[in-house]
Parts: sequence; C-alpha cells; structure tokens
Amino acid sequence: MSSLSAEHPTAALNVAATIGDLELFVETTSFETFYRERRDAVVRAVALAIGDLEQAADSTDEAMISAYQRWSKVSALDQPAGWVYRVAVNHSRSRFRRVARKARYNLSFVTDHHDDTPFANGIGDSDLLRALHELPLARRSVVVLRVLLEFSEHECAEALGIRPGTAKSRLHRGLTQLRQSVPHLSPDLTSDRPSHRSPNEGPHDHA
Amino acid sequence: MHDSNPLRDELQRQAAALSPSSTSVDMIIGTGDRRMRRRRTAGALAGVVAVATVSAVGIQQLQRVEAPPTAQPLDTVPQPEPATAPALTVPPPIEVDQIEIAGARAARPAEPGITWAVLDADSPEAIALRYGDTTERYALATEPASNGFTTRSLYENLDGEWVKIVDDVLPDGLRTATFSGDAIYAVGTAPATAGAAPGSAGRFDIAARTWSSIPLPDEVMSYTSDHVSASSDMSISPLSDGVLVAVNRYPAWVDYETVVASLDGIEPVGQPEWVDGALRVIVSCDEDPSQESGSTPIATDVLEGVDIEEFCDTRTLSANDLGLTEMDVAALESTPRSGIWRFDGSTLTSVDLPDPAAESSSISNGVLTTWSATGSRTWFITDDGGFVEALDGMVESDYGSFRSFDNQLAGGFGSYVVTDSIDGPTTAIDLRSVVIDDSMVNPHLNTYGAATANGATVSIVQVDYAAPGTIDTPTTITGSGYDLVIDPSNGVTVIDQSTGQQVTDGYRLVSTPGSIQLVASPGLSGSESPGTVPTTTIVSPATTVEETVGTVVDDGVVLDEFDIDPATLPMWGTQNRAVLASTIDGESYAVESLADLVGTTEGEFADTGQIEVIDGRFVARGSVYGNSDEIRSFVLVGTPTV
Repeated sequence: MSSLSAEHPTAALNVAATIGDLELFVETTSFETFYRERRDAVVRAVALAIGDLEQAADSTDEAMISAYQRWSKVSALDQPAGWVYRVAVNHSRSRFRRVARKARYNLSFVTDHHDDTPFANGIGDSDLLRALHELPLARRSVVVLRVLLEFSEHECAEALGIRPGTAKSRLHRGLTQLRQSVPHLSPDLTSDRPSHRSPNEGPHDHA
Repeated sequence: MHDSNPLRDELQRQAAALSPSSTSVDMIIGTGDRRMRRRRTAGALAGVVAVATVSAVGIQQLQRVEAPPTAQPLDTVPQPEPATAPALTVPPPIEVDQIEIAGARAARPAEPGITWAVLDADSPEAIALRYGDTTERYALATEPASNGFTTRSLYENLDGEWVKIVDDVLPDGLRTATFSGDAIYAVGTAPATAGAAPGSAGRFDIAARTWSSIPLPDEVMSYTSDHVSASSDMSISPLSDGVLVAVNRYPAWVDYETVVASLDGIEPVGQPEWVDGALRVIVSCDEDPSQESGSTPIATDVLEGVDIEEFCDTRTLSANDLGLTEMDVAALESTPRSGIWRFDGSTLTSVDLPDPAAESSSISNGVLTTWSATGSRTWFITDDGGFVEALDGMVESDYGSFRSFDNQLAGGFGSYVVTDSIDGPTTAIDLRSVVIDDSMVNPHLNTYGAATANGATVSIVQVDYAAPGTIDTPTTITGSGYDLVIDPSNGVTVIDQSTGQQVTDGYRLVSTPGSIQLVASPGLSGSESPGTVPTTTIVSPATTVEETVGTVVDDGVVLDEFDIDPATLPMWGTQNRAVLASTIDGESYAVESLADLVGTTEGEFADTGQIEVIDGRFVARGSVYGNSDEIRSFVLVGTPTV
C-alpha cells in the first residue's frame, strides 16, 4: 500500500483502481498529506512538552502509525494533530515509566541500560525553555498546542480530552507563569488567535 | 492575523530551531499495515504474548567461563560420540532483504561492502557469536522457529552443525548456563502470567550424556496468584565442584488485565501505591470520564522526568475491590529478595549472602555483586564458594561503575580507572596519563580495550574518548545541561551549565554508545541521570578516516552521501538508532540504519547495543517491542564482502 506514493498520484491511482481499492487510496494519500504537513510540527510540540526531541520523534511516529491505522476516525476530528499529540505524549510517558519501573526493581538495569531514560535530549537551553519546563505537563501541553500548533482553546480542550474552561484556565495559568519567569517577553498571549491553519483542517469553534 | 507577541514569537522561533530526525511516511504506513496484519492473526498467540510481556527475567546466554584450575579446559574435554537424537539443522541466517520490509520503499541504499543478516538473539548461532569463538560447542538455545521465550534445549556443535543433545523437554524458563568441570549447568525460571513460577536447576554430564534437574526452593521463587505477577532473575558462576546460583525475586505488580472489570472501565496507569492500607491507583485523565473532579496532585517521580500533576487523577481502592488476596498484597508490598545456593547437580545448599542487607545479587565471571539500599558491593568468589570483598570495600553508588571479567574488576569514576583482582591489590590509574594504543579494536564505540599506563597494560572499560594518541590539551564537551571538561592539568570535571559550578563528587560517568552519562549521586542509588554529554567531539582529529563508498541512511531516508569527517561526526550512535561500524583496522566506516536493517521503525526499539567486531564480522545486539509490548531480542551480523 505504501507504494501508493502521493508524489506520483497518477500512478498510485492506477494501481489503486487496478486493485479495486480506491477508498484505500484516498485514505492513504490523505494520511500522507497530513503526515508531511504536520509531523514535524507535532514532534516539536511533543518535544517541548516532554523535554526530549529524540523520544518525541519516536513517540510521534508511533502515534502516526496509530493514526494511520484508524485514519477514518482520526481524520474526522477537528484536529487530527491534537489526537496525534496526545497519543505521542502518552506514549512517551509510558516509555519513561517503564524504564523507571525497571530501574526501581533492578539496579543493574540502571547501570547497563541508559538508552531509554528520559533525559533532556536535543532540546536547546534558554530562559524561555527552562520556564516552559517548569510548568506542569498539563499547562505545558495547552501552551504548546496553542502556540506551536496554533489550536484554539476549544481545540486544545478536545485534543487533551478536557473541558474548554479547563483548557482556558490552564492556558492562563501557564502563560502567567511564563510571563513571570521571562518578564522581557511579557505581553499577553491569551487574546491571540491562531495565525493560520493547515489546509486540511477546517473551520472551528473558537468559543 | 494577529499582533506581534514576543513570548509567542520566541517560543515558535525556538521550536522551529529543533530539527527532528526524519522518517519516511512509507515506513509509517508500512508498519501500520504490518501491525494490523499481525493483530488480525494475534488471537491464537495472545497467551504467549502475555507471558512474554510480564517477563522481566534477565536473559543471560551461555557463558563460556574459564574452567577452574581443577577442571580440564573445555577444549581438552574428551568428545563423546555424537548424540543419537536426530540432527536438527538450524536454518541459515535470514538475509535482510528476505525480511518483511514494511511497504515498498525506495531502493535500499548501496551496501557499503557489508552484508547484514538478522538472527534471533536466542539462536545457537547468535549465542556462539557472543564470544567470538567459532569452536563454541554448546548452546542453551531456542529451537528453530520457536517463540523463543520459554522452552530451550541444549545444543552441541561438533562439526559445524548444531544438534539437540537432550531429548527430554527441559524445564520451562532455563536461560542461563555455564560450564563447570565436565558438565553444563543451567538455571532459570519460566515467566508467568500470574504469580511467579518456580525455578529449576539442571546439569548435563557431557561425557555420560545425561541430564538431570531439580526445582529451586520455593521460599524465593514460587508464588501463585490470579491477579499479580512477579519477575525474577538468576545468574550462575562455576565452582570447583558445581556452580553458585543467585536468585532474585522483585516486588510483584498488578495485572490489570485481570482486575480491570473492577475499575468500571477505567484504565489505570502505572502501578498502585499503598496508602493507609488501600491502593491508590493513578488514572490517566485522558481516559477518565470524571477527570475534572477530584484531581489529586501526585508527587512527581524524578525518574519519569515528566510532571503528571493535574494531568492524571487517582482512585483509592481496597485490595478487596481488586480481588487481591493477602498473599497478593504481601507480594506487592515486598522488597526484592535474594538467595544464593550451591548446586552440584543433585543437591542445593543455601549460602549466606556476604552482605546481610542485600536485597538482590548477581554473579558474573567469578564476581558477586550485591545491592542494598546504600548501594552495591562487589565480592570475588573463591573456588570453594567463599567470598572476598573487592575494591577495598567501595560502595558502587558512591564511586564508579565496575564490570567483571575473568575474576577481575575494572571500572572508572572521575578521571580514574580502577582495577582489582582476587589475588592482587586494588589499583587506580589516572586517565590523563593513559596512552591509548592501537590495540583498541573499536575506539569510537564503547568497547572494552587495553590501555597502557606507566609501562603496564591494563584492561579498562568505558573509555570512548579515545583514538590513538593522548589527551594533551584541555577539551570541553558540551552536553545537555552539563559540560565535561578534560584537562590534563586538572583532571576530568563535570560542570553544571545552569550554575557554572562543578557537580559534587560522587557523580559518576557512564558511557553508552554516543554519549557519556552522569549517573547516580550519593544517596540516590540507581537513580536518574541528569544529563548527557555527546562524545563525538572527542574523536581525535588524528584519526585517519577513509572515504567509503556508501550512504548514510535513517529509516530508509538517504541523509547524505558517505563522506565522514571525524571532526564532525554526529551522534548517530543513539540519536537516529543507526549503526556506526568500523572495520577491523578502525579506519573505515559504514553507516546503516538499524531500523532499516531490522525492518521496523525507530519507535519499536526497546534497546540497542554497541557494535562489536567478532571473527571479522560486525555484531550488534538490540531488541524491539512487538504487539502488546513483548520484547524480542535480535542480533545483527554484518559480514564484509570486500
């Protein structure tokens, strides 16, 4: 199926038609478009949320695989990228916990296996990033979704499975904390609207 | 359009500066397809998968250990007639191109003169490779095409063909074996879906061709439960008249699959805590329909590195709610337990741990390591099964990380390499005075090597800032959060970037492929590492690197034509899960994506190891997660074709 490359849509369409699986072709190319347009942005958002670029890339790809497997449902969401973000963060946390649990039960594991431990990895260092990482993950998630993926508060709430009011509250608290930590970047962000959206993402309720 | 906002703009700018490793969308789609196919056929395998999932047993392969003085060297052991069991020919290694690669991709990058094959890590060939000895004659290994997790057999290789030599079905879970005298001893315990299975110990008399086994005592191992599981591991070391066996059992965990009905569909995350006689279960808010009520802050686990406060909720449940028995509760609340026995082939004799406070222990290469709340201690094992404390009583968590080989210990902390042997003094060598010589086979990877210091040659570990030459000028290596400063006049120091101060004594350096890690401050035994330091900038510009025909790839995506400048080697070793291999002379390099070779994605890797050169071939070990998180170990073998 993966030979149905979006870079060669005509050939891919011919193949799809030949095998009588046009619907699959459409789904696949839709996913490919989504992946190419949004993957790196989600990786960056996850990286800032968990503090590890490499793990973020791994987890986002895992989440992308999951998204592909249920693309008909995920693509129907207002923000498929939000779904991928949430799955990727959960994947990372699960990975970290697994390592932590092993380490707790077997000290020799710590000595011999460091590859999966959640070090800050590949993330730069600045006052702003340090301040971001001082936020609880819940607030950090809303901030990165809002700022990096340019979600509305409603979309943040949907992506994280929380109420819009909670998303708004967390965003407010998170930004307040950031402003206090980096006062030279202090103008209010909460009134901002997303500057643009991905072409495959439709209109949304910004309530 | 929105107004300028410095905070938002700066965050976006800094995020945009991150460069994620690339992955092919074809690989994502192909892996998704492959998993869906697996899932459709996974029903019949569900039981096996569950067994594998809970297995935390340390897999230790057949160890070729020097026979004690009273025993004959293995090579001189009289070889009996071949076994009467029918020959079982192990299938040849699978060529990489034969592996089901997820989806059709662009043509594979040009092979840089190496043909790669993937072996099951438990296959006889993979085990034999472990010691680089083509005359390896015995292996405790899985049968071809078996699931590889539980049942193993003994194999013998007299003429290049592996033959199963014990007709009986061996006890489930035998994993670890060693030679002692003219016999092979094996121990292990089967992973269990619930409770903990009893362990077994067995002996194969090579001359008499007889096998016998007995169960291990229950006080450490056996445990029965419907809802909790426990993990254990075993290690083994030869004595003059048998073997010494160390057994550990770790605290149990709840098998949520069997109790989830009691949780009204809530899927818990992680293991429960015991608070005032009740279970406190962490529930992900994502999956909790009542997430907005009663959120309870949960102490952040520093090991997780991620705050889960506010993101998760908790539920307090009694043991009865979960259907747990008193024995279950006792197992969940327990600390690790360890026992040591002497085994002569027919009887087991309990041996006291030399450190009464030890909660776990491990035996390797004639050395016993015990772990307690204060750290680890190491002990040499005498031929008659006694213990002699090593390293002048050092507690490992306070100092360094040591490894044993052939009844010797070597390790390092700060700028010092420390060695010890059972019949010699503990010595410390300052790395700043060490001249790394050409005998290091693979200087850029974290292999064991030989170093010459003050006219004497010693074995050292974890010196990866090495190439022919000496470190004669101050060198600073910038890492995440920490700088490593190597100064011939001032030793090796670690600077915390946030404070500019040297970290306190007691942090130790542990290198892994591609990095040096700072691990374990005093009082945090076995705890987290606060940062990593890339090692690549330490590659000596004096190293000669030939340009090699080949391609640098990452998950099938061609990143660059092959043109490696040693001064700018990136962290391929770990960052992109790729393999950096050097030829035997250490001067030519080939880079392949491990994920590409194994036919999976980077996200499926559970662990990747370093490259070794064995018998002129490149050998890399690793493991991948499969469906339901079962872990499969593999061995990649690269054979130079030019």
